[in-house]
Amino acid sequence: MRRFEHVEVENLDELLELLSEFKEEARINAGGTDLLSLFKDRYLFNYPKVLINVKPVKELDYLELVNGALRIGSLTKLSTLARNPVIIDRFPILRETVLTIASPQIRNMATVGGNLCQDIRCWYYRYPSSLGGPLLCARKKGKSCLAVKGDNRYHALIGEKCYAVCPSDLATALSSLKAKLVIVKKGAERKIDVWDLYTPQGLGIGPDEVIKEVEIPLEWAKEQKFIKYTLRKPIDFAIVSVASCFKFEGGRISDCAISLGGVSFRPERLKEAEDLLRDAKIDEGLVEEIKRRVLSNVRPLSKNGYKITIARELIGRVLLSLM
Amino acid sequence: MPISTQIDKIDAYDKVLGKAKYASDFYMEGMLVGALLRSTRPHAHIKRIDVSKAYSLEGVVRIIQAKDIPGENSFGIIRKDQPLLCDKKVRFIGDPILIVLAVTEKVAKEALRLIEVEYEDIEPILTPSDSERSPILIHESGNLLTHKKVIKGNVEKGFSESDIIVENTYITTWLDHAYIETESGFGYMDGNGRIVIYSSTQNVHYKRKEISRILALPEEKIRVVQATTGGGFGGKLDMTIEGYVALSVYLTGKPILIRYSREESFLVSTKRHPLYIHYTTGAKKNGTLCAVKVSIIGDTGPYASYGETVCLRAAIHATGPYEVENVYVDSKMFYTNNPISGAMRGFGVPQIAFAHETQMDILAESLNLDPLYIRMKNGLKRGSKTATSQILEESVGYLETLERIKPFWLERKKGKDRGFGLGSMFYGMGNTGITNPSWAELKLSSDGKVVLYTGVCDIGQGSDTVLAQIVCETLGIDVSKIEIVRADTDYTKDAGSTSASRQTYISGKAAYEAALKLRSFLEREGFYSGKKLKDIFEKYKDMGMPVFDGFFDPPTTKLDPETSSGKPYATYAFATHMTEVAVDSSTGYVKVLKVHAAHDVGKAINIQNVKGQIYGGIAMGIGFALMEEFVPGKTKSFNTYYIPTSLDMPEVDVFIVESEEPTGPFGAKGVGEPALIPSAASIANAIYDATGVRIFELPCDMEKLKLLLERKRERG
Repeated sequence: MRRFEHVEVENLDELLELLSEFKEEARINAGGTDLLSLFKDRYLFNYPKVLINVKPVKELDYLELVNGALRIGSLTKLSTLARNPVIIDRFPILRETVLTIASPQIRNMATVGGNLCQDIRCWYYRYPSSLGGPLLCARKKGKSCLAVKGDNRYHALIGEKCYAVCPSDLATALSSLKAKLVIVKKGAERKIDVWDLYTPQGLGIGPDEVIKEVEIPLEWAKEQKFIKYTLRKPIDFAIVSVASCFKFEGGRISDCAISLGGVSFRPERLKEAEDLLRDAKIDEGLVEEIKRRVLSNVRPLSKNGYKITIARELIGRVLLSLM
Repeated sequence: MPISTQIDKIDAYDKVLGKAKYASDFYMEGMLVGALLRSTRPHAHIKRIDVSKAYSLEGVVRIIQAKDIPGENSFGIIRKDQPLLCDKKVRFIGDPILIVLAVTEKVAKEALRLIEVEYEDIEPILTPSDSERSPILIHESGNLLTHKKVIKGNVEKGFSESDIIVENTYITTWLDHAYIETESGFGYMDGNGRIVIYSSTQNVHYKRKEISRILALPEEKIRVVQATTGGGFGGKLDMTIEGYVALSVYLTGKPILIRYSREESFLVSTKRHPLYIHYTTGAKKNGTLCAVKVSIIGDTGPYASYGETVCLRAAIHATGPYEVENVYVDSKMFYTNNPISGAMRGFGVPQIAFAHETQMDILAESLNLDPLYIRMKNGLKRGSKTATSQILEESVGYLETLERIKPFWLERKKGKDRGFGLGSMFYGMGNTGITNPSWAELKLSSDGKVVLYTGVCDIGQGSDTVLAQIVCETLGIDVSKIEIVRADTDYTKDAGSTSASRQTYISGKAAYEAALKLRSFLEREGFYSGKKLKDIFEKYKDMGMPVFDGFFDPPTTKLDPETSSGKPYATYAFATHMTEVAVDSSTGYVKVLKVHAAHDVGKAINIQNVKGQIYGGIAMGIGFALMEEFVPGKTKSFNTYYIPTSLDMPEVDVFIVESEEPTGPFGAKGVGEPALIPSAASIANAIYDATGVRIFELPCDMEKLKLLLERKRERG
């Protein structure tokens, strides 16, 4: 590991103060489960000068129902989500999703904010400099994405310059719940949609910003489904995942949100499909129509076209289960 | 009765309680830690190495280069073509160039980054076919490592008599052993100036020989001891850290620890050979095999390692456990600048089994015969003549493995997207066509116990327990009465390596022979009429306690250099797996549901160990068939190399067939590699049964299978 300053903070104000001072040169250590491999494998060029340990910040570890929304503090552990009664009762999709993430040991350390902000898994990007030198890709001083001409079987269908997928299953699930993120920095606060946290070149928040909480609207998502396809059963990232939430009125869908994981740099909301479903009654014809349209305007890379059919199949399964 | 009953593994408690001492648990005052600088180029001349900046880092004690090696700068199990430290040329990404010794591992690794190496790149050779054609030579001796043939009868005549000919190409890729403990070793110089090495290894005596060459020291000045070892699967047969530790101890006189990180282990450990297998089978309408012609081309990487063994063993086993009158196998291994391929559970036979078992199923389907029937019809039995024209005289339990599977096969019920597949194999016990002896020694100890001195490395497979059971059974004593001194070149004689499924059979027999001698001694001394071991020891302690040794070398013959005819192995293990899978035909996801595994092991000395090997073999087989793939330049660790977990495991029913081998201890053969070999083949056949899609390339992971399913749908 490279040398760095390790600072411990006890509350959010201290954290924001440090972030505004050090900006890019600071990194937050929450659960540390992803950060560890960043340091160990040395796959980046610029390493932080300051590592800020936020474990003592208790004020960001909470789950509360306020003003028609569930608010989850960003330092809430993934394992907490899996066993919280409110989640089990009202947002079973989060429990289902969390239980597919990593292993119990990792879930006991990993936090909600950390999971959303984890670094991409691209094997070119993550190839450690210590073994045969770094691979220069679009995110690392290189000109182009090595996956475009290389082995891209696990890469994104949708990207721009970089074709790494958003690795967070939690982001996929939260997108389908239409969750918002409360982003704070020293003296300011803003709200964004979950999918806007991601850009093809990295996180869409500033180096002095941090996720404070996740806000999930109550009462609309009556039917919730999450399906994740992986090569290996446990401890694996999604090849494709589908998270979807529906509200029915009189046998028709009155509201819905479908989000795809593993295909894009962000959780990909399927607005076109949602529009077709809204006010509709699901039948086999509609399901086929939606399957046909999903990702129909996407041009896959050389080896990842199979993800399109997997995505269509999974969506078909979700919809048929609602009939 | 100690054998064939359930006995806890002798080492189990120490391991689960954390008492077992692995090489990296050793520590001595003043110990230095070593780290290796490795090539970042696949193929290059080394122009210049500058270590001056690294020396200025505080805590760096010594940097060792090739010029510091007192003896030979080369090693290799069969061919000494691998430099310990490269000085002129590097041949793959990861080739070692120098050793940094520092006060801590952290400083040593930091120092590596301060060393400058200037390379002049040579065009890398990345496929065997490029290797065959290219004027660029990886070694001066040429790019072809070895070329073997197995010839029996007249294959062209065989094809002309055939009613049907099936011809296909099969491809497999690199796999990593993925042992739980990475390569590590500790060494020091003792008071007499001897070099002592504790390492994670599968063979101590071979390592001592290599160290002696490298240091130009007589073997008596070197002691190699096996530390508790967390798995090997063939990856710890070659020299790993031993040479570096020994050289560092020799040059500094300090205690030295070197251990690989998981990433380093993935980068440099030997891999399973990728094989390109072109397979042609000719048969009669009734299913009788007439001819088998196989061409095998392998990628052995930059150094020979076990490439020659894999080349020959794959060729000898190319027919599978079937009697074929006319055989022609042509097997070649080429050097490339890819990772080093070497020994990995089965030496090329799991790859060839995937080919011959798929061929058998294709034949069965083309001839409208039952896959079990066609295997039964051609299966090896007593009196059969193998591809190397060896007559099998004893212990041929192949047909019995099929019989044990048969009731389940006939009762199988095919559901939608469900399928069943068979896979069979035979596997020669021990090294191929060469002498591979083993020794064992027994003594009595002052506390009234029997001490077994064995050179066998127990790498977790359970040889300590099995050898103890064999001795105790022969002597008629309880397992609590035995102590084992294991794999220490100072105290134990050479038992050969823990590989080729040979230790139960060969070293087990050596232990048995020693026990017979001790038994007749104890009879004379009145042990069986009530005298205590302690008293017998007392009687002899002043005049010197006699040592009882046992020796066994399986009867094999040298093979004909042109046709490989002869007796490559004294005996063979046989097995059949029947695997049930569920395939998600729209996504390509395969779940292995159930395996019926019938294994002819000769005699199960420890039933729990046999079952353990089979469960582990099936787990590895699932990896081989469905998910494991080492992609050079991309795979770096377990986060990109997927091995199955307990949740990917099927239910397994084991059927033990005991066709006793007269030369083995209590009739035992072996099961270590056979456990794996038929697994992937049976999974691939089950996938075909479920989907109608034939697999010709492994691993058949989701996206590959999905593509095949789509193509099939497009064709209608």
